[in-house]
Amino acid sequence: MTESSRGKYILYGFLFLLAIIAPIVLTNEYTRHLFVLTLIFSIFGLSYDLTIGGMGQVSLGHQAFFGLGAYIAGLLSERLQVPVWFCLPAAVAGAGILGLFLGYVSLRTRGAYLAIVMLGFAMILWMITMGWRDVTYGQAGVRGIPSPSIALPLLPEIKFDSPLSYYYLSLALLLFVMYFISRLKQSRFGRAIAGIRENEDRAILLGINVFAHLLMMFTIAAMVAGVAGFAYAHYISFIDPKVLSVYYMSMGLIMVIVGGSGTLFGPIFGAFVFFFVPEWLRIAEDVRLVFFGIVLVTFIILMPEGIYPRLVMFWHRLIYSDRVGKE
Amino acid sequence: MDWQIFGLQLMYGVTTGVAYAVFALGLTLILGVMGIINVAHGELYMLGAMLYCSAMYYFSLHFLLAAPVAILAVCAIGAICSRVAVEPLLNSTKTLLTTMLSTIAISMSFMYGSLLVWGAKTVPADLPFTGRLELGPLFVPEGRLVLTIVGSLVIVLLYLFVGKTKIGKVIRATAQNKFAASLMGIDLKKVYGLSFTIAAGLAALGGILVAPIWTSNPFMGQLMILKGFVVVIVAGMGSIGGAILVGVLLGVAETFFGYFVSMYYREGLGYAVMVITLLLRPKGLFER
Repeated sequence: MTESSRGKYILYGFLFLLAIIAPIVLTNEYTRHLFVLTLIFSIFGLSYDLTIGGMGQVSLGHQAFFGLGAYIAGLLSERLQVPVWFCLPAAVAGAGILGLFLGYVSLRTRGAYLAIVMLGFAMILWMITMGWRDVTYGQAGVRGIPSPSIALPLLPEIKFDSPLSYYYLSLALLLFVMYFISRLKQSRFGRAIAGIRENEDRAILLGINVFAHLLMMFTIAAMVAGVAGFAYAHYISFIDPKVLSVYYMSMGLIMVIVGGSGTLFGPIFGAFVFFFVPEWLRIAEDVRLVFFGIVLVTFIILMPEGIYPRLVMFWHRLIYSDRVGKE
Repeated sequence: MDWQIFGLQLMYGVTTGVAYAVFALGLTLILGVMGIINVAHGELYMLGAMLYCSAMYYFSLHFLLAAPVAILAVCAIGAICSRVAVEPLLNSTKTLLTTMLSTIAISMSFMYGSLLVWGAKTVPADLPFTGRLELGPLFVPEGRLVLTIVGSLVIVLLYLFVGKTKIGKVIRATAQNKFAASLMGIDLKKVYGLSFTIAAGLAALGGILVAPIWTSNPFMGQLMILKGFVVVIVAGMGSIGGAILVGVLLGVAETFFGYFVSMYYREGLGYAVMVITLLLRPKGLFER
């Protein structure tokens, strides 16, 4: 084990313990609620970062996958009484299929065009959700989505109906997603994606099927967003067409850019900043996006790599303080 | 089909289209000259309308005074935005994406900021041109008539400005090749600032022109920017003539679609057209 990887594992262990202990120490229900939201939207931020940091493309329609996941999970369990755990694969599959289709169309373009085409798709989906009242309840939204529970034999049934219990469920989902993404990035496929991001022409010359790789990555990002949608729908138990609105896109952008795109912890850190900093500064709900808009501009211009890489640098200075500058 | 209904729909379509064209002109000017997509353009348009209404309601200015005041204020806001949040990002390889992100952030701040200032409702100013005019067999809302006349005038003026004046030549040279333009002694920073300011003024004028016919509220920019994107993308990078044509056609197509097919899915028509255009001609219809 090299020394830098030892530092990394100390950091991971520390963060994991912190994540386990945090909701037990903090008994305030509202704080716990914010923690659950932080975890759920960390999943969303991570999936958004698969396109931003992973592919180097910003899609302005990522909320479509989140919203579709939430709607599939919510409608299946509310209308058809499908068991909650079946809703998870359904939401993931639904978001994945949508991602495959939208990616197939929009990945023919790059950069701002891709961003705007995706925004158009998300708006169409939003319109369908608003208009197709027979299925989606339209603007009224889906109410009374049940919370998940596990009934293992010989054990009391575990219900995830409080912020504390749901915290651990979403933590488990987040850890799984993080593990999956870190493996994905190290895989041959992930390295091919990084190659495409750095230089698309070179990747083509190396014989990488750029379109197929990007489409795959886009679909995976959509599926992960579907997980976040599922977790959100069953936690809040009420969803309306707002889950498909630009609000969630802005939220994801803030989390990814402020936290640090292209890193595993950046979006999570960004989610933490998004939910907790306004609370500490006592910023009212309405002023939040004004505040974050200004923060976002500042970050894009002054610190485009985000907070998280700076924190890592700080941590390295802390544990290797005698050797700073020699590496 | 009753030709009177047809005429009425055509009139509504063309007037709506002129509003789209005026709005998209600024967007396409910035895209052509600076090579960026200004997501905050919709918010500049919204600010134009809101400031115009506020100047009339809170300061009881005459509308002929309120309009230039609002346009100048938005020009100043645009110039500041350009200097602070856009120009520092122009010399990197990922300019298109980073400027899009920073303008999204600006648009967020402006939209929710105006929501705080004005609330989610319109300013109850006593606007001029809200009546109807009888033109032969058609009843034309005065606002739409003014919108069409002033809008077309501004479009022609801008076309002449870019096509015939010396400053217009400088702008065209910058749009064509930045490096060569800077070698010819053109101060790119000034050109960028000027184009952004003109675009902001156009957006504000668009907002002022539509204020009597559509409700103005802090979210009006969000709806309009989507139309602007559709027009700019279908027309192709920075093509001014294309943007005017596509803008008017989009207005007409939307109105007829809304009347004959579905009022509800009317808003989706533009996106559908955009997607199909990108699939067939990824660079837009009028790309030079």
